Amino acid sequence: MSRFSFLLSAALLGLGLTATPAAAQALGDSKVIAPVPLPGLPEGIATRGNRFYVSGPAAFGQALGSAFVRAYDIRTGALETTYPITITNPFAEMSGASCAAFGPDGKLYVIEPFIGVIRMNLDPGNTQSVYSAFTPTGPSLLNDLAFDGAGNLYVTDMSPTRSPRPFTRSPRVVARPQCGSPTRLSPVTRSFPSA
Amino acid sequence: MWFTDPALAGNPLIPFGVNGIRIDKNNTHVYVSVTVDATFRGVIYRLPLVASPAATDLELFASLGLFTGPDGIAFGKSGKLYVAEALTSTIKVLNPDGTVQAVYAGPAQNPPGSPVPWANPANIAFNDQNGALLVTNHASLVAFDPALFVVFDVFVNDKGSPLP
Repeated sequence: MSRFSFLLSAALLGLGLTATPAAAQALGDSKVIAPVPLPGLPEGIATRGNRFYVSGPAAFGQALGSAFVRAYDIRTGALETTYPITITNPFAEMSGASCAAFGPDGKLYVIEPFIGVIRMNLDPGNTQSVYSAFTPTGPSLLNDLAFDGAGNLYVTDMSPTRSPRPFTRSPRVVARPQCGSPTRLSPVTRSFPSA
Repeated sequence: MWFTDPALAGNPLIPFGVNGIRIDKNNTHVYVSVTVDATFRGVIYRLPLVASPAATDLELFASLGLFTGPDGIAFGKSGKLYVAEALTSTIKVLNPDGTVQAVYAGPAQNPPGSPVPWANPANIAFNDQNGALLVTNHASLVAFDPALFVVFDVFVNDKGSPLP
């Protein structure tokens, strides 16, 4: 025990006080950090600096325009900003968002299953654009995405055996993939056509 | 299309195939979860990060059991792989060899309110400031309850991989 600690302890005892150490955190301990407002169904989560970002709702049947990214303070869990996903597929008659990941360019890439991958600037104007329009070979249910060290983006298409009704009305549907498939796109420094 | 294989297609009765995806910290392999495979098991596969992987490159990394439902995954700086299991509502911690090191379960404390059960956790990110996972509580396979739509953290004493 250092001289300072000893003197502090003695002073506390002299005052009839005892220091109460903070409860040790055990592996697996969990606590609620933040609520996710309706429509809820939070799916994706990514962090950057002092914020974490949550995307959703991940479900069929959600109203057109209901997809969101919400930004929270990572230290307090306070909801700071909501970024509605404004790009919608009117043929789908519904919206949604699954996972999100930051690219090497600092933009947030979010999957809107009825659009593809949307790139969000997370700026006050909520600027966003279609990074890659999917259904290149037919109906898909895109779910998660990850960047490798070279900036290539990989996307999973999880439900190849389903043909969601909305896609039967989409002019971009030309075939149905035979099975699930991570898709590798070009590095994010390259541009892609909009939907 | 970078890679496709029947093993990733999921189960015809429960069509949730390839789902979560992450790159390992050495940038040599991509890992994917298959939520429900043809035998109703949850599994993790990995593939080498090459231009055109062959079917023989697909390697089973971990088989997590019947109706476990692995969804989002994330690598820790330690090399451990953290798996959100939607059907068991747990987080599994896998060693670099694919064996299970630990299984964590809820509920998440929520003072002064009641604890919130983990309900179909979907995805994971790291809060490097406190060594915890941030987890989305998707709550899609339980009775509708807006109080379940939360983000909770789980202390794991680890940080995120350089390629989150």
